[in-house]
Amino acid sequence: MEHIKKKIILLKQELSSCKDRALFDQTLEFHIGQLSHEIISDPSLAKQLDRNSKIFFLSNRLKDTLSRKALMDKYDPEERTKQIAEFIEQINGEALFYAKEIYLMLLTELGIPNDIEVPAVQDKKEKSAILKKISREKRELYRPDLILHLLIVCGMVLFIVWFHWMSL
Amino acid sequence: MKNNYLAPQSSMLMQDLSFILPKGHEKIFVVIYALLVPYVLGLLFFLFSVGEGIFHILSNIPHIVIWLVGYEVFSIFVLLYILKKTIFREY
Repeated sequence: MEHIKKKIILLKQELSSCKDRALFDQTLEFHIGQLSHEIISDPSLAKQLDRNSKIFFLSNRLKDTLSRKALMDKYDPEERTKQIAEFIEQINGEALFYAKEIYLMLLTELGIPNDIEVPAVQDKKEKSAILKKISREKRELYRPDLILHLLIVCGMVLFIVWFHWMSL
Repeated sequence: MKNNYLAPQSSMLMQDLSFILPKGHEKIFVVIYALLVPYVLGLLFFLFSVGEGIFHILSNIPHIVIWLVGYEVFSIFVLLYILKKTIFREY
């Protein structure tokens, strides 16, 4: 376990020194293969995970987690909230398949908060409430003022007066 | 005990309306629009359906009738809007 942990720390350091996205992806792809092999051949981990889970975990989830981390830095807060909410929902569905300690260790090493421990964020209702709040704030910005409404009312009154004057 | 099972619905309606109406004067404008909008719609309905574009035909119709017909026209628009929202639901 310690051996894998060190490898992940090294990978993290190497990824942080990458200057462009292409190099980042290339380094990640290379190390994922290497790490997959390390975990499969680790006898201490063999008891905790079956072979398929290990491969699935490393090739799929590590890549996804790191790319999500890249997304967190890239997008605006609203988009980021959506991305994180989707991510949490996704990992919640899959988390049961992984050994919990490895999963948590990986999240800690990558500096991502442990969202599994935050049930409120996982809740769909909570997510929709956040999105509703954002849309409400947006709508508040375009709220018409009193003068516009007074003009509308005056327009309607004038129309009624004109109408009755015409029908005399 | 006070029976207020309709309270959440009405407060939700006021919340929706509050984004259209001016801040601080919501209640006044709800009353004004409730009186004027159906009346204007009623006038237009009578002009283009019964009156066929001739104004003096409409001089004998009572105001309350114009308002009530306009109210029905307005309710048709609202029903069509609800139908549209139900069919083309936004997620």
